[in-house]
Amino acid sequence: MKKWKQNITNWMTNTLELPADVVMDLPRITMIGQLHIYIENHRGVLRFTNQELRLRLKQGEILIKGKDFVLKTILPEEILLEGTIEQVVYLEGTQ
Amino acid sequence: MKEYLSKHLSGTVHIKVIGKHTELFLNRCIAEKIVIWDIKRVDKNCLTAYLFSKDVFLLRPLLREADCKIQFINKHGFPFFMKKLWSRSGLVVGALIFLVVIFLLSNMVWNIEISGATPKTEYKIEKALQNMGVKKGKLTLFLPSNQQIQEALSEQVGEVTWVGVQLKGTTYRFDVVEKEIPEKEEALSPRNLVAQKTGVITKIFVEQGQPMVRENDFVRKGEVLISGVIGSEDKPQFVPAKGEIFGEVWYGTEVKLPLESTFNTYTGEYKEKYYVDVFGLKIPVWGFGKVPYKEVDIKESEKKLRFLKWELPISFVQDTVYEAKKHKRHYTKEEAIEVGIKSARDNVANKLDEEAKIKDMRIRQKTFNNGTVNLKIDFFVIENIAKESPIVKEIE
Repeated sequence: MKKWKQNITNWMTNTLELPADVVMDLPRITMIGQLHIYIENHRGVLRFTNQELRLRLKQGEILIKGKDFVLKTILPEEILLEGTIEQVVYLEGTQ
Repeated sequence: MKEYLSKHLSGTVHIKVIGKHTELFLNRCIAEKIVIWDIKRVDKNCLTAYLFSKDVFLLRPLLREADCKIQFINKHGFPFFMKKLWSRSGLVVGALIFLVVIFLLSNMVWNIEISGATPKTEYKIEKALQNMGVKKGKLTLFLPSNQQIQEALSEQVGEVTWVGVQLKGTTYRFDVVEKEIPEKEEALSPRNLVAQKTGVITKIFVEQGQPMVRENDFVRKGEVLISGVIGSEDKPQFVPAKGEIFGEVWYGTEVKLPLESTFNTYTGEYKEKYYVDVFGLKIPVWGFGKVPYKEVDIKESEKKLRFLKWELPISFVQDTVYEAKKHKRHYTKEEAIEVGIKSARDNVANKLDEEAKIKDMRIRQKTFNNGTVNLKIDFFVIENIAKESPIVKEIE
């Protein structure tokens, strides 16, 4: 059942040319150089330190590594992180 | 910008969250829609963040849930600023008093400068000013206007022909022109006396020079009356001619006078109204209510407020509403002619100097049309008609 739904949404995004983040509830990540990273559609903070930020996604997690992290704003579905961003890693995610 | 404003207006707190599950605390905040920003990790069990002071009370259940504690680091924003000010109200009161004092001092008379007057007249002017209330330390707001001061000074101080009154900042400046006492005779250069008007000579009085005309002679404008050339023709001598020659001159005047006219007079009743003018908006301060007069004449005097050297867009306006009364005047033709003659006579007399005399008059023409009287009157005046004209020596 779940697989079938996934297939449908995949098909919809491909044929109807709808943005994938809207249809499939994927995170939308905007980065400005290494300075800012802006993540929409997250599902909560798992871990936050000066060097890393781990966010829960609908499927899997995202891990951001760097230096001098500050959470500039934090809203139900959006996060703005400031600092020096070095890596963005997806964990256990299957798409 | 909007965010910035709201942060400053509603007051924010800087807090420290201590506990093992600080991330849980953050997630709970998000879930409860508590706005939280600038989150920084201090160490493993501790982070700092900012939030609105109004949300602080909502934190308690979340803290219990996440097993955290908070400490306040700092408070920012308008409400806290006000609180601080309130606890230091002396400072605020001092600042206010300071502003008020500066404001009052900016609107005071600090200096009175009188220039162009002899010490005697200067003293008189000072006295007159003091009577009017123009003194050092007075508020300019309640002093008469410059024009009123000027009029009063020229009226009260006889030695003065003209006074220029200027209020420059906090200094009153008076530029005085004194009546000059006629100077003693200066060394005269050779000259003739010539007629400055056409007329008939009635009297000749020669002090120096050669008279060229006799009594009852008719002279034209520019004709030589007393020559400055004396002596024989071979050896002419040039002297400044001196003397007085009275002649009969006529002045033609024309008067128009309506038989019926209306004009306003003041009844002496008046009402004062005060306004504060802020950016052109007149706000009544004193003197409310309707003016009960039918006919009015309004005189406005405006005083600009100053702060240090700047003129504020605020001014103090005093309106004096005088009650006026309309009068209708009706002349019969005879009365109109009489009044016309009188006004024409006054007119001519004003133009003449002190020695001149009106000898006779003749009405040349009177016409009535459309309710107005037109008069043409000739006046015969005896006056000094001599005028100096320098002799230009011809070199042969």
